[in-house]
Amino acid sequence: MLAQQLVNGVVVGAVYSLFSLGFTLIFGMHRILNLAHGAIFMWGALIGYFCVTFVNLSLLPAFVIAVLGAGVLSVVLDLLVYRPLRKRNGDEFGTIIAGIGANLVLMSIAQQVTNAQALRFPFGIFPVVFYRIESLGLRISLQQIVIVGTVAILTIGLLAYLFKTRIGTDARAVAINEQTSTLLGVNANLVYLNTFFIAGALAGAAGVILGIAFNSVSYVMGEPIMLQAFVVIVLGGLGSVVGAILAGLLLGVIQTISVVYISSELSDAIVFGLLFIVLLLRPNGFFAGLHTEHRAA
Amino acid sequence: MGGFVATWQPLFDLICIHCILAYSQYVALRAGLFSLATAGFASVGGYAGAYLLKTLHWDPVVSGFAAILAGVAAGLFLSLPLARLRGAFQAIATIGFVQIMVSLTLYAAPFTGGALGLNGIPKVATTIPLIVVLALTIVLLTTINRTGIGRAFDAIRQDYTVAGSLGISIATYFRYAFALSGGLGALGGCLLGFNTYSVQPEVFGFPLLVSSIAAVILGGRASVAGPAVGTIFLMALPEIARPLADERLLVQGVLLIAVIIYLPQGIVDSLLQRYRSVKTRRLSTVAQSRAQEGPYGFPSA
Amino acid sequence: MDFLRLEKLTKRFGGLEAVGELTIAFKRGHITGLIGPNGAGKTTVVNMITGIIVPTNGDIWLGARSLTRIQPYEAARLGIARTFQNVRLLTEASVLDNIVIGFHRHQKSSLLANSIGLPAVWREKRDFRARAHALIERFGMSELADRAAGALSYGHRRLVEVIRALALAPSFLLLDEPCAGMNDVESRNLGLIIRELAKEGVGIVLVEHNMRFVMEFCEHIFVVDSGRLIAEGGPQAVRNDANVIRAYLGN
Repeated sequence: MLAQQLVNGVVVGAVYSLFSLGFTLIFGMHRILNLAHGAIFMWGALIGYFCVTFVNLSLLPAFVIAVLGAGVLSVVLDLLVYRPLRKRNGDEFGTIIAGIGANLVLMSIAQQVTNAQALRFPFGIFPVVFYRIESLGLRISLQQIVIVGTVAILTIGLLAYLFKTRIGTDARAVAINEQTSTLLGVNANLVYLNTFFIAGALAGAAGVILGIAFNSVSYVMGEPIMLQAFVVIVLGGLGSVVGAILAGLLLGVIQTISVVYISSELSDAIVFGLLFIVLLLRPNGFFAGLHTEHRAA
Repeated sequence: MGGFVATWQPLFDLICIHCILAYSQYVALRAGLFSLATAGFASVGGYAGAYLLKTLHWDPVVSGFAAILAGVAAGLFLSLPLARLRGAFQAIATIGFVQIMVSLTLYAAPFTGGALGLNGIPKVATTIPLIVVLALTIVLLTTINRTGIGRAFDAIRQDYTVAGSLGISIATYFRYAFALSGGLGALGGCLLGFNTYSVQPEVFGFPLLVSSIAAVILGGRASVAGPAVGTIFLMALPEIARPLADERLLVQGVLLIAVIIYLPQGIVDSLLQRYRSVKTRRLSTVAQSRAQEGPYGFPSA
Repeated sequence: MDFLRLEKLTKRFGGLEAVGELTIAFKRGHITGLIGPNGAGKTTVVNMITGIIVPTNGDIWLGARSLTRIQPYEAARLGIARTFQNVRLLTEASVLDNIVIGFHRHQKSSLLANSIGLPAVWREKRDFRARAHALIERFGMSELADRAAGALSYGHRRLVEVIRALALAPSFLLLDEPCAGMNDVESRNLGLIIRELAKEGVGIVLVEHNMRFVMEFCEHIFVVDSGRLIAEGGPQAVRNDANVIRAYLGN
């Protein structure tokens, strides 16, 4: 029984990781806390849903379009909201406020479009197949395997981008020092667009996955996952890719176990209790991606 | 005349209450805290006050004070992990705090009435008491602004490294700001219950978080008049045009983005700054005509 | 409280050693220079003394009191004041208000008293404002007291920062490149001011690149390169030291 819950937890955690990766990427690269990330995630799910139900696409092309669409939406977000702020020397506070505003706008539009209803993917969108491992008492579904596989592929792709491609290296240079990188010929604007696109795409993927796994797509689905992401990045360290992955998996497991063994209502409280304890003890997370040598107080 | 009052009084009451909530948010921002916890404090105060008044039948004023104390305690509790942290963490954690208050009040049904909340609260916060409480709040905040606390807040908010280098204990002032924000937020939440007969979990959720921050961003976060102006503006907007009322969150979202990009200091503070710069320009021409070169060899600016 | 002492002070950022085993002492009433090529770690030293950065190893002593792991506000309250490389004033506040904040360390009224507005609070405020006016007048800037600090010339802003640091009534004043951006006349006048302050008992620690200024006003100089002490002594000795010349000009 426990082994089964561990597996379930890892699957859920993988999706949290995927979502949090995009969030931590934007922060790690550009110090932008993108509070509209959850709305991008939600729109990914919506786009996937519409592709399947109105355009009658099968799952894979719908998934691809949703991922690309979410990426584009994320880029538009940067162009319309964060870039004007940067041009006017906005500070961290400004980006947080702007993010809240953008989140509201995206949610309101989604609310209109969905008529505030929770939507379901059509039955059978994903084959229902199970595999049993009797020795461990496990029952794993094909869906779970595909989810973890997809997350793994996307994560590896992200790491390859960051460390193997020219643009990825440029991105890391900009993350360290934008001014100098620009002087050395890096196109900072292009890097921003890239980062937002990738982060949005990852969020969109997570959205479709979660929308199918829990069989529900609604305009509010971005809210709870933003909060999970908060916990993930505090645990894993703002800006740390490895941290986001490991912390996401850990959170998935903790949450699943507390829902099953304690109570689903208290699982929220447990998770946030964890958040506060970590903030008290190790606010930079366990895998600090950024050095914070300077103390405020 | 009676008809006019009857129509607009409820709105006026709500404006007073939301003003106090905006002040709770204002205090945090004034001190340089990225706290968005006001709605959570309102939940603490709203439920504490309602429970004491309606279920335990305590005196309204005592219930109110107890609610404020509960808010102060909540603020100090949050300050434990958050007073020493950077802005981004404070924002994240306080948003999380608001959500957790919604969850807690939904599930602690024996005390809070669960999803239905607490209803049938006696309407003790009528217009006159509201005006008095609001006035007292404004006096308190104005005093704080004019004393050493205001100076310290300004320094911390504008440049916390400099503030530290001048002997200002940032953690102490953050704790104070959290406590004050908590007390004011709880006061607002309590008054909301005492005026509208009921409290429910969702009342203190994300929409309240947004409206509080929007009021301060719109009106201004430095001067005391800012949050009041912002609140009046936001609450008057739906009354002007129906579509604005229906799309409340969308309108607030667009306003937040537009204001923070194009008018980051808010209405009141932008106007005040323009007035001040006109004044100093007049002063400087006077100063220039008096002295061409100051002592120590520095040319007059 | 006569000496500000660094003992084997070390700071490493990851694998990079910014400051290595620095052992030097600054004396009250004297002007001591801390010089070295760019990147030598001088500002890091200042940041460690004022508590903004925590040392990796070593100790900092103010008299018998350890400063090694204190917070910035504690350093200030112990009488250590500093100015910043890029002048950091509250640009929208007036010159007077900028200096009044400098008196915060001397505030005796409590948070509670300040919240309700007890008479003692207003008395203290008037007192601080009067003392701020006195300081401004001493440096001949009375005309500019009510101007927004951001509107002043660069030289004036530097001076305001120094005056603000003086409001602390410090025992040690750490100046981080105060002459940057100043012409010869302005720097000379700044030098005369800090000589006055030293005579009044303030220990001046001068981090500076302007060699003429350093040679003219410093009584004792420490030279650091890549975080390590390579020479010390009076201006003449340091000027002619082979190690110093090599550090600045290369081989």
